[in-house]
Amino acid sequence: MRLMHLLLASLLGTAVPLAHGQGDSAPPPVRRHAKVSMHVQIPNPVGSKYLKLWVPYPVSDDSQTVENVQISGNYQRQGVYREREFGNTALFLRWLQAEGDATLEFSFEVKREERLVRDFSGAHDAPPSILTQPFLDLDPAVRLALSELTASLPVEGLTALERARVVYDYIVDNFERDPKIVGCGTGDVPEFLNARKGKCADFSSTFIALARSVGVPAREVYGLRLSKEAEDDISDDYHCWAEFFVSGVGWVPADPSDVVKFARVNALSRDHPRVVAKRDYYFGGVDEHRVRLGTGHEIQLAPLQLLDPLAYFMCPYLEVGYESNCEGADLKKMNLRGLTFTASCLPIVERRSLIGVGEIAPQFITETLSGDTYSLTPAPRRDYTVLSFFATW
Amino acid sequence: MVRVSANERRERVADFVKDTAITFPVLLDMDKTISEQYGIKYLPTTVIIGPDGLVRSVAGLLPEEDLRLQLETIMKRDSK
Repeated sequence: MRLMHLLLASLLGTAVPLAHGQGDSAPPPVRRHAKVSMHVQIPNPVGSKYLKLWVPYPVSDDSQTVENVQISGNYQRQGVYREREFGNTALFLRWLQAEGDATLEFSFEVKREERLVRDFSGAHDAPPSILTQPFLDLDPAVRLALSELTASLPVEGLTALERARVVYDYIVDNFERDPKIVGCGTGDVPEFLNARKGKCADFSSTFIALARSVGVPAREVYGLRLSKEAEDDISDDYHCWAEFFVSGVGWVPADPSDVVKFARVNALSRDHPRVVAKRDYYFGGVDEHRVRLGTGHEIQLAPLQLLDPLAYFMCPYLEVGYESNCEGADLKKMNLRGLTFTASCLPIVERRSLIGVGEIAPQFITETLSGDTYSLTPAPRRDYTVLSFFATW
Repeated sequence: MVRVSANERRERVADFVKDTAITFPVLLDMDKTISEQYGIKYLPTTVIIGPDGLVRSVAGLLPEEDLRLQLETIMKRDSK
């Protein structure tokens, strides 16, 4: 071995002491950073007295950090509220006797990690507690619709974790994703059982209902997918998945819909090794390309909406008040001419920390000042290499 | 040894090299791709890479004698 060009530079500037760190052998957590921006423009409906808008407001948790929230527009009232039953947080805006269009710009940055629950060594079965009991409740009509199916599932004598897996596999194996369905689907369990095809709300609500019917607490999770593209319109990328509860472990994510979606998009059978890998991944795991917005069903917002409880709260919900009545729907369904709602995602590349001793030096090819090409080739090399990063100033 | 100029115009780097009589290859990193790959936060930064491709040392300003000494130490350690 020899040294490559043992020449020394008399470098400019002041020396800055740098820490020498040992390279970390553990792979870094899979995470990402993105900026989500929403633009809402609502034409002032003729004869309306007010507009009220609730926008799902993401908050930080174990898997995501939300920061740099920016809100602007020509509203008269605004506030961030958290409803009591499920803890959903909403940015609430109100326009009174709006002149011209009501406008809102809402953006936030999110640092998101994939969520993986793989250690079930502490799992044990425990009777329902005051905390888990609400997540076992089932609408009587849904329970009735599920009764035959529940009785046919081979869950006798299994642990909660095993029962959840039986339900998950049943959903993955027996239902199809229908891309023609608008949005996330209705989440109507009897309807999905009958149609055998649906979208993420149908998959997750049926997983939750079936899990509850075999005694496993479960709940909905609503979110927004973060695009992998350089910049993308994500107005239609709302997504829902599920979580089930295992005593000694906690809430465990599950996303049967994304398994079926992967199989469909790639035209693969359920037993194809790539689909099997996805099936295993999404039982106890969800990827980093999503931001969590909320949970629950039949949601009473805060401040309370005038109309019926919401089946789910994912997309911004708008109510328009008139002299004697009110109409409301989520922005994707509101039939107002001139209504504009867009959400975009701008991935943010985080700067890596200074390379450390023991790490693999990244390879590169670049141009030299003299016009040649220089490449730091893959190891092993004959020489030691000294890279001196410098500035002319 | 190579020197890496980050995010600077070719002409400016050429003038600098001429003024300082640098005789080893100077690499251009116009879009800072290499600097970002290495996580460079401060200039100057000196990275010594072994033949196996692993980083042996990361430092700021290294005068000639210090760099020579450091390289000798590293190579001696590696040859054991």
